[in-house]
Amino acid sequence: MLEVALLQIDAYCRSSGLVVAGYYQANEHYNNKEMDNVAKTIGRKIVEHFPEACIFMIDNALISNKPVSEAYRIYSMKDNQWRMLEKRHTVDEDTLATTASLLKLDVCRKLIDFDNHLDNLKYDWRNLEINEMLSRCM
Amino acid sequence: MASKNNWEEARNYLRKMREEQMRDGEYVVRLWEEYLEDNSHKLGDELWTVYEQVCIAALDCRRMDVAEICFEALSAKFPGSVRVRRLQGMKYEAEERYEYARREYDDILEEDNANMFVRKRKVAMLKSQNKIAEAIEELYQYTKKFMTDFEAWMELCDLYLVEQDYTKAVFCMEELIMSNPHNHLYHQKYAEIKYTQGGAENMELARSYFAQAVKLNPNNMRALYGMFLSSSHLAHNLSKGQKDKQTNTKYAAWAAQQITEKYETSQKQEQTSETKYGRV
Repeated sequence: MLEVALLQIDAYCRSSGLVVAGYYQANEHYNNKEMDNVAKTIGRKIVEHFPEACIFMIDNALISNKPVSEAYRIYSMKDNQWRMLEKRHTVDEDTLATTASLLKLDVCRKLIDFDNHLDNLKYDWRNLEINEMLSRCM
Repeated sequence: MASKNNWEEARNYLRKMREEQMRDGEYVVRLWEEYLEDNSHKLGDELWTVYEQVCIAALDCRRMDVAEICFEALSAKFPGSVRVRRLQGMKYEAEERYEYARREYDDILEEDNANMFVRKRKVAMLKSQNKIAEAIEELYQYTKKFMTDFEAWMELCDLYLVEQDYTKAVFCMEELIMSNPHNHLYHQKYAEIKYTQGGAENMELARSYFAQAVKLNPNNMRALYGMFLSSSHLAHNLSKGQKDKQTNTKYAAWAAQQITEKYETSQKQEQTSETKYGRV
């Protein structure tokens, strides 16, 4: 079903002038922050279309209501292999504050993914409501 | 929930969650803290069931403080009971003291060899240590003893998928389909694995099983998409001659038409036009 998701997202991006530039994944296990086969396969596919793409692996231990920067590791494709990039500053203070307040408001329960969409087509994976909320917060 | 009956509503919702086996630890803990903790004397005998539920929920979301309170209350009331010891094991698991947990579970199994819950905990524990191969072995032994536990077969299938052992994953799905041939989700999942395996023969099987899933439930979008993708693949890349190509194109067109109709009846037009995917 991932294939269907990617095709739809691709069509959406093309119609609105965007690209699929990356992918993020949080593993089931609290302590597991490694890239697995799924992440690698999807990453490879994205790189085929957009060479500078990168993958964010979420570190579950760093997710909380308190603002922490860089709760993830970033990987990119180099010489046909996934390399972890050095930690660098990717989020600014405002983003952190906004994220923290979103977490407090429990907005994540409103987030709709492609699986919800396939269960019921009425659910829109573009999450317009949350996007709007985001632009109001900024 | 905005009346003096708050705690009753919370209680009823927890009941519903128990009956439907919903798993939402965070929410359970919130209901407990906001509405039930101060009213616990009103719960009567149900309190003990609620303690157990909240304890497991708290372990799920690492609220060890809440888990501890519930656990203390239960073990004071029912010292040495199997269910309390089971919770003790789960508490060890959450603290990542796996060796203690394993001993606790083994002790219970010695007294009660058929305790399915504890056996499954042992599998889950291996899984949480990322020992997938060992988890598979343990669960495989379990399915030999409890052949009618469908959840276990499903979990075994998923573990094989993590290992990318598709042949064995397929075998699990075959068991499940035989156990309940009317469940469209089993057919769909079987087809998805076959689709992933690839190759002309697997792709044909995938198409047939997606089609069967659609027949059992015409609203299964995943099966419709699957049918469309597998027959398109067969028509464009794996075609065995002109006639085969025509048939598959026909199947793909039918699935595409079904998908379009579903979108037209349930989505706003603006949403459809922006996310519509080329060939459909």
